[in-house]
Amino acid sequence: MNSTAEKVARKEWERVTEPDKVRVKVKVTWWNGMCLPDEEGKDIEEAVFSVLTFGDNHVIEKAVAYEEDVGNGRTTVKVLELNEYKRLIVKKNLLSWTLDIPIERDEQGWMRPKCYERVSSIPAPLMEAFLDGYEESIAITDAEERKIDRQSAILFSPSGHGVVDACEAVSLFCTLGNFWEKFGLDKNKLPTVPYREYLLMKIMMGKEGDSMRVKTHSKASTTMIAGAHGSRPSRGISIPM
Amino acid sequence: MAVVQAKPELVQAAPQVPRVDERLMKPGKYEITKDTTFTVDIHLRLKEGRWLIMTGPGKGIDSHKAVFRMWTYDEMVELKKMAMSYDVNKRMHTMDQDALNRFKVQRFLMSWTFDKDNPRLKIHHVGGIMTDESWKAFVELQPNISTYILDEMNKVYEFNG
Repeated sequence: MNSTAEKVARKEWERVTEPDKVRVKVKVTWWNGMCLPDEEGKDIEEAVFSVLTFGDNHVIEKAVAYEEDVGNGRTTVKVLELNEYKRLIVKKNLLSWTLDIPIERDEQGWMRPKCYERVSSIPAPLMEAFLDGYEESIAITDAEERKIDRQSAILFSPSGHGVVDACEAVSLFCTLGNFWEKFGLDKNKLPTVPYREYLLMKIMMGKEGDSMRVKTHSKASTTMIAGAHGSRPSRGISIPM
Repeated sequence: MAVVQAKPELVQAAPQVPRVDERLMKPGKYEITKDTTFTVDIHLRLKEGRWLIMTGPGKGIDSHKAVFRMWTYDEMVELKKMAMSYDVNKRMHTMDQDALNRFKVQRFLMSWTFDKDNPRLKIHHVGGIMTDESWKAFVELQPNISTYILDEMNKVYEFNG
C-alpha cells in the first residue's frame, strides 16, 4: 500500500476515533546528548495534545491579551503575547508524550507547576517542533481560505446547485447541517453511523435536494410577453426571492 | 445558656516538599542540565592585519572554541518575550534579532578560549548571566568573528544543529 496514503488514513482514523486528541509525531536525532528535531532522523517522539476548543482559546487569549496604544494614545488595540500563548497551550493541552517526563495535572486539568518545571526543561527546539505540529492541526491555510471563498460564492449564489469536490469547510457545513436537521445526528454521533446507512441517507438527501430544485425551476412565470398573436408567459429565468 | 462551640481544628496543609525519591532522582535524558552544551569551533588566520575565518584547523591557523549551553523551552519563551515587541503601525509582532542574540550570548555562552592569551577577554557571570563588561569583550571582537559565532550558535538554537 502507498505509504503516504496509509499515513493520511492513519491520521484520519485518529481524528475519527479520538476526536478530542491531536497526536504530533516528530522525527528526532540525538546530537551532543540533546534530542533535537531532524527531518531525516530515525527516531520518533510523539506528543498527545487535547484538541484546542473554543473554551481553551477563550481562556488563554484572555490571559495573554494586553492593550497597545495606537495613534498617539487616541485608541488602543488588543494584542496577544504569542510566546505566552504557546506556553499556556503546553500547560493546558499537553496530555502525554513518549519522553521520560511524566505529565501530571491538577483537578482543573492544568499541568502541575512542579511537572511544568521538568517539562519546560527539554530542549526548546523539540518543544517548538511539537507545538508547530499542534498548530498545523488548528491553522487554516491561505489556500484553504481561498478555496472556501470560491466555493461559498458558488454555494450561496441564487443559481447555485452545490459545489463539486467540496472543501472541508463546505463539506462540514453541508453534511453536518443536513444530518442534524433531518436525523438529529450531531458531530460526535455521525462518525459512528454504519457507512452503508450514511450513504443511503446521503443519497436520499441528494434526491430530495434535486426534487426541490426542479420544483423551484418549473414554476411558470407570471410575467406575460405581448406579441403579434396575443400574449404568452415569459421564458425568462425565474429568480427565487 | 449559651453554648460555646469548640473551635474547629484547623487542618494544616502539608507543605509542598518534593518527595525524597523526586529529590534524589537525576534529570531525565531529555532534560537540559548545565552540562548540556555544544561547542562552536572558530579557526582564524591573520592576513594583512585582519583575522579571516577558515573552514578548519591547519598550519598558521589559530583555533578557538566557544562553549554554549542549550536553551530550555522556558528560557526560550522568556528571551523571546523580552526581544519581541508589537509594531503598532504594521500591526504585527517584530522580533529584535540583535537583542535576542545578545540575550542568548549573555545567558548561554559558558566559556571560550579567547581569554587564554588575553585575560581581558575572560568571561564573568553573575547570577548565571554574563556581565555587561564581558559582553563588551564579545562585541569588541572583529565583527566577522562575532558574526560567525552568532551564526553558528543560531544554527543550533534555531535550526536544530
